Amino acid sequence: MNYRLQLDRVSAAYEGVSVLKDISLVLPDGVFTAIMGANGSGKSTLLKLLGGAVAPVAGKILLDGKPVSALRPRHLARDIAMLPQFPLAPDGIRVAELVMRGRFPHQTMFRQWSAADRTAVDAAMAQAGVADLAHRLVSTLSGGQRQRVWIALVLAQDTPILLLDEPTSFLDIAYQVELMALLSELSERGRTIVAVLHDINQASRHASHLVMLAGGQVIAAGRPDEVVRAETMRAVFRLESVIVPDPVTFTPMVVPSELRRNR
Amino acid sequence: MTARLGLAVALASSMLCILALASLAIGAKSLPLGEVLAALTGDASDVANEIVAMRVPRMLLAILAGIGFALAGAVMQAVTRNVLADPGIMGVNAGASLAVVLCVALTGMAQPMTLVWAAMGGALVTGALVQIFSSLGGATALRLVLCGVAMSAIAGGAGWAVTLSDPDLFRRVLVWGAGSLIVTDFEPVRAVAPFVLAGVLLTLVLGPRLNAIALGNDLARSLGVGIAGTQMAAAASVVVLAGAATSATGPVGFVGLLAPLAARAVVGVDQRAILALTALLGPVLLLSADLLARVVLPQGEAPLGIVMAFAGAPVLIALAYRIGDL
Repeated sequence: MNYRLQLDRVSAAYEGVSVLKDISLVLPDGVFTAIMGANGSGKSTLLKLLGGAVAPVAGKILLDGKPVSALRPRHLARDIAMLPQFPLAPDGIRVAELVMRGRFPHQTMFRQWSAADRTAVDAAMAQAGVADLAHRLVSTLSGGQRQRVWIALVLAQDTPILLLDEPTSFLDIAYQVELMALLSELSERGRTIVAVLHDINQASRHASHLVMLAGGQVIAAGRPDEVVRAETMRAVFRLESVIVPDPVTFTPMVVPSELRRNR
Repeated sequence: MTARLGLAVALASSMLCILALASLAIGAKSLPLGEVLAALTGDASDVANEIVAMRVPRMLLAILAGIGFALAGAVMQAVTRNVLADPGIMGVNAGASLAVVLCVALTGMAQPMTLVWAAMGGALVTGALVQIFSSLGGATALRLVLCGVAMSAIAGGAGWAVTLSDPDLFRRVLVWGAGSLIVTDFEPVRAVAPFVLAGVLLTLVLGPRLNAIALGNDLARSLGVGIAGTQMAAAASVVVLAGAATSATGPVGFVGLLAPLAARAVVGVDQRAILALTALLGPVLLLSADLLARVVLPQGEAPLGIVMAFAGAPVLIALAYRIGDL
């Protein structure tokens, strides 16, 4: 298994409270990895560590064996793009204008807009399925369309590694399926995708590598059929469940066996 | 988009040229345009030559201060993602002004260059204080504006308290303190110009980064923009631009609010386009207000700061109605 991105004995804290403890993990290249875990288990912090947005209190985040903290932000931004949970769309911006801003790390003071930028923006909009929205105001789009526009922006950044923080929240089920399909398609074309996700069954269907977090530690990491097991669900969510094959994809599917529970 | 920017820049530049010529022609003794043009090459009558020569530094100072106030406002609005940010509202101008008054009070009549440095120091201190106070308990757009307004009131009040304590000082800073462009030599122009130029260069570098910052700090960071570094550079440019402008004209409000606002209404969301047009509209506003200040009273001149306030306040009120939530 090849990998460029790796956490080496990383601990992280948020506002003085320890969130991740001594985690070591590799993110396989060209694979769609889903990070999952209970609320407050440190999923978003893990993603921010990978994107260099949060500094670890101990350990190293390595890209090609080099600590990301040693890379210049603009260089890191040519390898890793991260879509945060709540990006802001400036008032009155149009879709194409927004997607163009993904090209920032490839531009310089004296070369603001090139043919390569044009090509990357067109390709990104086509891939995310927003080419026909190019001239629309972002504020007039539906939630699902808007999320695809943001995906187009990070695709235009044209990085081999893409990090997404809960990209499917606020989307209805049809848009969720569409987005998951897009992410697995991107990974099949060679991109490394790392997404924080909540829906385990969806993740099992579309992602090929799952990471389960609980109590600031990695409880399990591997293929869906290795990770999604009754004992993992018990350890991570303290939930009793039966694992059955998904009737469509035959990937593992979690069916909670408790009807009510006491935490 | 770019065609629109080109047209806007062409229009604003022509307006700037016309106003610049008008500001050489109009005043206590108005001259016909032909004579102004002749005087610029030294071919007019001695009186006309002398009048135009006296008005040139004033015209240049208005342009420099217009660029300073307006660009400072545009940068503040972009980096805070708050359309109400403005060096006047946020207390930066008042701080610069207080520092100038203190400088004059302590050292007697100071050189323009000394005043520029004092003004930038005052701008830096009040700007930093507003940042610190508004970030206590989590910075919000509203808290930032409220702290700015409070700081503006404190610094402004302190400035007047110092001024009123000394009749001699009062006489010397009164005109400047209400905002004015009454200069007849090149000394202030020479003092202010390098700082405005430095501020302009800094905003050139900032433009693309501000476009990324507009998407939120998390996404901007992922695009390779150093957030802390960009905020520091933006603060430095605001201090230099607003400080230099205040030392030239006294605290003139609203330019930093109105010019970027108008620019955004015309060219849209690209910060590079907004900054470019703002740098032209600022001087247009300040030259217009200065011309109005010269002719609005039957005798003498109205203070520039007051003219600008009369023109700017209604726009601020209109704006407050259009913005639902901060």
